[in-house]
Amino acid sequence: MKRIRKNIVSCLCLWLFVLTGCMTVAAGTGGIDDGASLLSGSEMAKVSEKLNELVSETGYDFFAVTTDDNGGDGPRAYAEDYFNAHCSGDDGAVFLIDMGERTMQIVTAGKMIYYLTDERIDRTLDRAYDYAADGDYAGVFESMISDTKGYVASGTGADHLYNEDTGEIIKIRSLTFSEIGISLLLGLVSAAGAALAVIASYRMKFSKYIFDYHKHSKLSLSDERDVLIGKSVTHRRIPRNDSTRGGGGHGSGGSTFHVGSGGRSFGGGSRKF
Amino acid sequence: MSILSYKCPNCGGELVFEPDSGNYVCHFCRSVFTQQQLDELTPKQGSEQKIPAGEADDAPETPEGAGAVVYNCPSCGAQIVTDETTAATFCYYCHNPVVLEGRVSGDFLPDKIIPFKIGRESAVSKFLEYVSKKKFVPRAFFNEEQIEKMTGVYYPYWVYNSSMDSEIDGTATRIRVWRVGDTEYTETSRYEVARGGRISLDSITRNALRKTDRQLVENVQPFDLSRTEKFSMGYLSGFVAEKRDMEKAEFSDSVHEETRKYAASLLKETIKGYGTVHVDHEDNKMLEEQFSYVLLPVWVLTYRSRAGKIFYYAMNGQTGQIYGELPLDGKKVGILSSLIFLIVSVAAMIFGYFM
Repeated sequence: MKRIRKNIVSCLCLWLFVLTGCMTVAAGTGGIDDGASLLSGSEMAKVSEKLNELVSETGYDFFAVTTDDNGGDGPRAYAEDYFNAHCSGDDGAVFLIDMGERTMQIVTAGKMIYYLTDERIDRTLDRAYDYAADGDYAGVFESMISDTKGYVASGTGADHLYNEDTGEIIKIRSLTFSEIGISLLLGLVSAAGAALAVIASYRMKFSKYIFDYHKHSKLSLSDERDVLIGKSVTHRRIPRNDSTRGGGGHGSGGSTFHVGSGGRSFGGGSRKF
Repeated sequence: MSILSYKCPNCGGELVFEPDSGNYVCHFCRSVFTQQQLDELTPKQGSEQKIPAGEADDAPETPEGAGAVVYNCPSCGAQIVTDETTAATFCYYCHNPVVLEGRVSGDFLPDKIIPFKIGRESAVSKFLEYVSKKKFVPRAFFNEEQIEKMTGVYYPYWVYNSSMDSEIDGTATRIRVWRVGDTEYTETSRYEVARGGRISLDSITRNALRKTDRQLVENVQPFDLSRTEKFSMGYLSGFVAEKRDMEKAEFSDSVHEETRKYAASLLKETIKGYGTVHVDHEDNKMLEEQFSYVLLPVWVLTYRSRAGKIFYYAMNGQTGQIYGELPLDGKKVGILSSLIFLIVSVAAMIFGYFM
């Protein structure tokens, strides 16, 4: 009797814990889940170490996951569910290798949507693809993790967000340091220009008087000749702008997101291998 | 050659030309005389001797070392010394205005004159009004007491009119662009263009006094040369006047060049409707040209700042236009600069933020 009650209590506690969802904790969490058994023990240790570095650097949650069976909803939904189930905060990413559909999937949440823009995800998947093609799944994760580290270090790359569901484009309002610098420079130049203009005008550096010859002249035209001596025609082909980018074709600087599992907004991208 | 001064028939005082009314007024009894009445009077004459260079002890050396001329004032008999070019001035001792007739007659008789339209008081108040409107001048810098010297001067000018037959020719191009599908076509049409006609230009003005501060005097132009009057010596009474020391030959090249430039521009302006125009060749044939010798009125003002620095101004004696270096209040310029700096920086940042 006592044991059953203890179990029920612990189950209830567990439930409660899960129900309250992700509580925002200062430090992030990370972890490897090698469901498809793609990594050896030492590989897992290495990837785990890299993952933890990323976690401690950013304070976000990162997961490297492999699976054979994504449960039928596709790799994206699987990764999103995984994130919801294991996250400690609202920011982070999941790197998923889905062997069932042979897809590499990255999903981003919270602030990571800004760091991993569409273009950056594309490049990350490009690089990881080489490892996947060789079967080096540890390499896939290591590549993804180190790319992500690099992107986080270089700052947010997004200047607008694209809501996949509604098609809405949200411009990100920001003021970078270079923008501030340019503004100040413009201000300085204008101020200096104005001051110089006043000084020059007061010091009488410029002659004010220009003879208005139109007022003091009369022209009676007696000879007017316009003779066509030749025509030539050239042509050129207009280069067409190919809109290659998927996901709306909004070029670099965009990060696409949609409202995914659990009502959370996720970004990300995938690549078959 | 003689030195004249105009005397009031009622009291014997000096008659001076009053710009505001256009009449002549006696300084003592305030009698007023019109131009016509003045012409009927006989001005009082003084005597004059030319002293060869180097001989006179009490004659100051002019910069060229040329002979100064010594006149005797018709009012007080004192010796007046002037430059070679001065045609009207004031007696140094008794301050009566005198006109040196010989310097504005014969070859030097002006064809036309624009008499002063703005009188002394009017000029002073216009000047103070002008500077008070200037925003970067130190506050309370300008006041009437510090106007050191205010002299109405008739400066000599050559006014040039001409008419010529001019022609230009060159090439012009016109471009038409259109698109068919993926291809853009550009058609360039080339034309030979020519224009010719008769051009008359008037009122090209040149200051004919070597010692003038050209920048000051040139920038109070333009004068309305349609309002000139026939010359009368009386106009000079009460003012300083200078005769020319530069002949028309000296300006011949420069006025021809200027005229040529305007003619070419006028013709080029009639070539319209092209994308580019290039003039290859121009030709001018002078039909008529005329130099008029004119005296034009300028108020010359010397202003001494409290710090002791002297500022020079010139005011057009007909239109009131003023030219001259103004003192700068560094603080006010600083405030303007800072304001502009702030506004532009903030505006740019707001722009950057929203883009």
